[in-house]
Amino acid sequence: MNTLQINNLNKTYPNGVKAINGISIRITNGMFGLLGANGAGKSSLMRTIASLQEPSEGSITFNDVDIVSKPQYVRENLGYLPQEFGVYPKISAEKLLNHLAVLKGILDKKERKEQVTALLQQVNLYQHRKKSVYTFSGGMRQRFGIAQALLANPQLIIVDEPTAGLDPEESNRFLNLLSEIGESVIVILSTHIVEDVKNLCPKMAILANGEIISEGNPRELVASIEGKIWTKIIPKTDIDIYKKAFDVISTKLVSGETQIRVLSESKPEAGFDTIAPNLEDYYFTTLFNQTTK
Amino acid sequence: MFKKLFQFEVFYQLKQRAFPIFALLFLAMGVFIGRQGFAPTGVNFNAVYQVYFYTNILTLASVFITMFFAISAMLRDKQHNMESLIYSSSIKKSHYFWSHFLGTFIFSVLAFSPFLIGYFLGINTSNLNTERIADFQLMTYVQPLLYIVIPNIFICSTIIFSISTLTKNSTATYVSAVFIYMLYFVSSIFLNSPLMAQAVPASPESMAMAAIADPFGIAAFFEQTQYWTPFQKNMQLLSLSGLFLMNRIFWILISIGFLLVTYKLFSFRKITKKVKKESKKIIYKQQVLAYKPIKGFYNFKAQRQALLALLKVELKSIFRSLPFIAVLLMWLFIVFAELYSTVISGGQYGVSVYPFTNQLIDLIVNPLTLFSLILIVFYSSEIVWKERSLNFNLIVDATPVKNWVFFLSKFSALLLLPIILITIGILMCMAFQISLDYTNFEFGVYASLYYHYGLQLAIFCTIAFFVHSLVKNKYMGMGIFGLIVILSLKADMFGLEHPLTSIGFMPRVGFNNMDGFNGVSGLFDHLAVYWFALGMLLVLISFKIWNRGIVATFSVKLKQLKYGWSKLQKLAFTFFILLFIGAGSLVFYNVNIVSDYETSNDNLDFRENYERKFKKYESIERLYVTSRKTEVAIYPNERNYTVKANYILKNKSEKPLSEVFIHERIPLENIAIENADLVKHDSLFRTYLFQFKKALQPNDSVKFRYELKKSLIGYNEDNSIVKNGSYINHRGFEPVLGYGSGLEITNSIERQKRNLPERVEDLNLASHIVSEGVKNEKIRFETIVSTAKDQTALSSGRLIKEWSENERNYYHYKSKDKILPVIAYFSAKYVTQKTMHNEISIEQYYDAKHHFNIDDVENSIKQTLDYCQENFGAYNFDHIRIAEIPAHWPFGGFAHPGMISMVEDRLYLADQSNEETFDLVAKRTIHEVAHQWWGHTLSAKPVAGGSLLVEGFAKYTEAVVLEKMYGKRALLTLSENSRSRYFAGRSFASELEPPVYMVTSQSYISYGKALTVMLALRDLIGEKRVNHVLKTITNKHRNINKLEANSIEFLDAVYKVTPEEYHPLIDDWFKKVITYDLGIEESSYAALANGTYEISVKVKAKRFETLDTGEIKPIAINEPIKIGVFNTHPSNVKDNSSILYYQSNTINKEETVIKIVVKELPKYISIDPFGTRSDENFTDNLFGL
Repeated sequence: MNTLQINNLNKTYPNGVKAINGISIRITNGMFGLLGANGAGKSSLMRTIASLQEPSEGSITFNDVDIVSKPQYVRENLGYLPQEFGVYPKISAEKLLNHLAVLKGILDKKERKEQVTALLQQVNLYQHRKKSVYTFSGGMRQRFGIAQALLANPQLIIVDEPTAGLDPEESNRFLNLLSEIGESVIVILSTHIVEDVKNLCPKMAILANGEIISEGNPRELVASIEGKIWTKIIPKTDIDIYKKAFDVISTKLVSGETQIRVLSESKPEAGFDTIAPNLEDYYFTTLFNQTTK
Repeated sequence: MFKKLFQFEVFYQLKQRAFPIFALLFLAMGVFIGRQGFAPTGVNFNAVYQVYFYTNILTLASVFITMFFAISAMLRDKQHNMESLIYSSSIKKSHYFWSHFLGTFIFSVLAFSPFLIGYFLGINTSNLNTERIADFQLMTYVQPLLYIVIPNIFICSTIIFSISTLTKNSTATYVSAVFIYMLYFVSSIFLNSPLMAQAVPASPESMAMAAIADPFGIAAFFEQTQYWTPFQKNMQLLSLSGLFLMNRIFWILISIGFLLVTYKLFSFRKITKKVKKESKKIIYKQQVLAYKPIKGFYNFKAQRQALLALLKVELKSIFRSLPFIAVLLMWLFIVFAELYSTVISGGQYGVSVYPFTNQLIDLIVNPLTLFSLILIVFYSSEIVWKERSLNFNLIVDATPVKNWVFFLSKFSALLLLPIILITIGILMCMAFQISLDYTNFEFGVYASLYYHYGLQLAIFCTIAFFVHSLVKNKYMGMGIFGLIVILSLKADMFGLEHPLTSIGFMPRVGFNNMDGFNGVSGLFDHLAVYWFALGMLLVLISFKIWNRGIVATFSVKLKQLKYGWSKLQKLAFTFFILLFIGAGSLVFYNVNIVSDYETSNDNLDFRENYERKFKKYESIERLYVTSRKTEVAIYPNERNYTVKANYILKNKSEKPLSEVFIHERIPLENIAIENADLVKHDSLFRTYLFQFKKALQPNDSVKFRYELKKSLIGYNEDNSIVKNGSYINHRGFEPVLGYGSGLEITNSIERQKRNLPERVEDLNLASHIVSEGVKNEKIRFETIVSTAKDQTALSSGRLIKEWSENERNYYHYKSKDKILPVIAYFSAKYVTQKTMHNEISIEQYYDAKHHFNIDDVENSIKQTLDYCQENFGAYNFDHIRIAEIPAHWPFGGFAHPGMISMVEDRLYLADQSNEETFDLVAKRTIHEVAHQWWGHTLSAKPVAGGSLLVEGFAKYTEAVVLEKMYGKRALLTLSENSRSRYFAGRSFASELEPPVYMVTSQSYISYGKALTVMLALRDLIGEKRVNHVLKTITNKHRNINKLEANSIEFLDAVYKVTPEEYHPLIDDWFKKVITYDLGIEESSYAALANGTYEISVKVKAKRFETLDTGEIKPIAINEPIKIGVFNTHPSNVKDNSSILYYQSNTINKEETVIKIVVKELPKYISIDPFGTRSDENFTDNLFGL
């Protein structure tokens, strides 16, 4: 069983931005979802875990080995897909993956070839293997990124927005692959697509302004707001009135009509219906609570 | 719309921090260069020529500015992914294009122009000699701005802007900048540019090509001003004409063309990658493999494999990158051109040198450092920041590859760059050697390149890595490292002097074929250890703070540096610190303690104090040596020698003498003067004052004895005493009998600062030539010189006795008559060739490997002896010896009495195997043998005009003997060389140009114009009469021991044999500064009925006099000038069969039409075909019919 233990982690950038603000968390084998808006600090946190930047304060241990002082250990067990990345020009996908496999310590040529081939097939790039990754489209490049994160035998897989730019089919393939692997290793998946977390992750956390504002099992978290979410179709022009009167957590267009969702212990007013909340509602609720605090 | 766009462009570029930085940088450079006050002597610091010179050179740097602005103008939208937004907006293509171009161009000009302001400020805030700062003239600064700055930046902008617009690729933009440089480099190789070391002056044709091809107009500028006298450099603005105008027009048209084509091609769309159609959908039947994890290894073997993989990636990307390919091609080109021009197409006088390894590598080491540093500056930033700038760093940095592997792969990739350049250079040299059938490769000498030149470059690599690991981004690192490179190479400009203070002070270790490695190799070795240790320390530190992942802040790096030291690292760090301090101390000990370390300021202090203390002895009369007897023991292997001397000194003044002041050159072991006591000895200033017991009466003599030992301490070097090829001149050790005014500080500003009185320079007046009393005279000489048993020792005089004793060889030489006291002692492992020629023993002493030209030398000696004895009178000795000395001596040869030294590469290694090449060996030999008459028999008074009698007559002898040996074509080569030497020399003359009969130290006159006027004289009165004059005055002075012959006496003798009508003409040549502009404007011929041909020729003839003010004034012409008609080019004329007509015609108008009838079909007609007039443009003298 792998364990990632984060204690009171802080990261302040030289320009004063507090990207990580006192995070403490313990993650074990299985998929772990990290939800948060853009700029919430997801990438900073993941880079810090991947030993690519040093925290200002606090500690991270992976299997009881300190990441900051002994980064080599985590690197030996890491698969990392950054949110954005570029590659060397003029090197084909196969060669580049092979190069990275060498860097990851796969010494046997045959084994290396096998794994490279398998990964290219898994991410559906095998037919493009002779092309330069540099010329790949966004989705293809993302798939290449996924493949390289799975090279060797990673015990800690960190994937930052992996499904961005993928079409639904590719996205499904990938998530299936991940959840398969994720049974015996830690997979940290950062995303802003709530559905993915709901479908895949037994555990999750919501990040806002560098802090974890909620943490737990998605189903249990959703259960905690059961019966408190009310909905109503309203004219678009009345949004502001409703926002003043009630705790509106989200507004949405449904078939061209404006639907609002309100957090309330009881029925707010006539015309509101109660609905079964989903993870998205929980997410908005938490964010709402955070901002009104 | 255009206005708005342009306004935004201005706003954007202004906001870039780069603009004020560039502007300030160039302002600072201007101030710095202005304050330096570098200008050829005689040229004002703010002369138009100087402003042009620096502005022109500095515009080379404007490429960087332009590159920056072009990238920020055209690539910013792409870099920031704004393209789609811009291109889909309603902006018109023309507005967009021109506003961006104008932004680039105008801001480049604005960023560069402060240089001119800075230069002006620099000069006016400096403490330079105000006499050399002319009054402010606006045009001095405005004209270079208009003719140089704006066009150059326009040209650079259009090319770089076009490339960056069309490719949308920053690498391609860099490459276009490199390409512009390449054009400049190529042009400057063709031209004898002061920036490139070139021994051979360019031909007018290649100069014209270079002047057009150079986009910066530097070559064209030098072409126009190459013969400008200092007066012209001060007064004249550049004229927008000739090649300079053509260059400007040519490049501006090309630029406009470039710009228009770019505008046409520029599509207001994103550049889309060509979409290749998928040829066929291949159906993959391969079985789908399931993903299964594979355990990785993290042991040493894994790291080694990773290292190789990473190195491969680095090298591949370097080798494929255009800047590398461009620099490599340029390097190949330059090495090829250097080698070709020296070993195949010929160096000086068109004569090549045998391709000895050291000769070849000498040619390539200068550009080597420059090219390597360009690569290091550029690629250190590329290599270190590569993954980061591709945004690939997060992926590779998350792999389990250790820091040292990343570091080592990148560092070795960088280190390989200079190694590749050196290796390619070596291979090219070997290819040349093979093609010339030379197979003695001397691998040791080649390998020394890696050490003597590669090491310094490797240390620069470590500095580059250190800088890049400290800074926050790539461009900052490039800038800082570039600055460090410049500062360390130019450290002396910032007042640094001690060899420990800058890596730029690594000395150059010389190598020559006779003596092997020589010079400062001890200092080099110790400095090599010192800098190597520093380099390793920097490597260690940069490794410790190696950036991984996100770039860490400075404080984080400091923390990284403090903690986490492994035992091995600690050990290495301590070791290199100790090595650094140890080697540093060793150098310090040898430089500062063993030998007296002197900064240039210490040296000035010494000279000031010497003058203050001893100036009073200048006025006491000196004693003169009338006889020298020496015992010189040379120990070549120990590199020292001892001298025991017995002189006789004579009081030649009219008063009794009571004191003698002596200044030693080398510490004396003892010194004594007969009948005199040492009353004062200053060991610091190394002076002695003797007082006679009884005053020495006029014409009385005393004995003078001294003993000394010369040995080398510390890093002191002395070329004269080496392992093989010692050449010790008596001026190198002999104590000076009197106050040495040569030690006085000459710089007038420095004298003012130190409150020293102004120095009274000797006035150079014609009246002194006759009246000046000179007390030097010829002396008796006798020596016993000894050396190691495997060497031969030589000196002047007859060999009386020769013996061996105590494993040493002894030689006793004694002069038959009195000789000029220019004596040297030689010792080397010589082989000899001796022959008797009309009772004169011709003896050659040379290195066994250098046998190529020995017979040629012998033949030339015979020819010269025969000619001179017949025409100038008897030879003074019964022998003539020529001995080889090593190539570290910077001259061609030197004539001692009956004994000549010749430098190995200038005589012995000249490749004369082709019969058609000019016989440089004969030329040099004739010259030195001729000095046995001109100097040793006819001894000139050391006053103005003296060197006409010494060097001028020797050049004349070269001409007449070579003409006899090879015909008029040899004459043409000589006169052409003298002509260009004259015009080049006078353009850098420090003082007003004297006429020939008043020449002092101006070698451009004594070796240049003197020959031209002597040949003109020969054409006027005939060779016989000239030689008669020479013989008469030689015989007159032959038996006079005093040095009395002078130029006025010579001219008086010339007048006697010349018709009166020509006396003014002789005065024009010898007593005035007159230049000519001769040429053939048009010519045609018609076949006559009797089978002859009538040629009609229109000649142009102008004369100019250079006045005392430096002003050049046209004057009238009326003199006979030779016109020649040839059936072959004059440079091929061997005998009279090629000459159809060769007569003097009196020319007295600016334009004259002449008709000539010849019997054969004429090919060429020429006015003054063999160069007897000083004519700047000689090419238009010849006309092809």
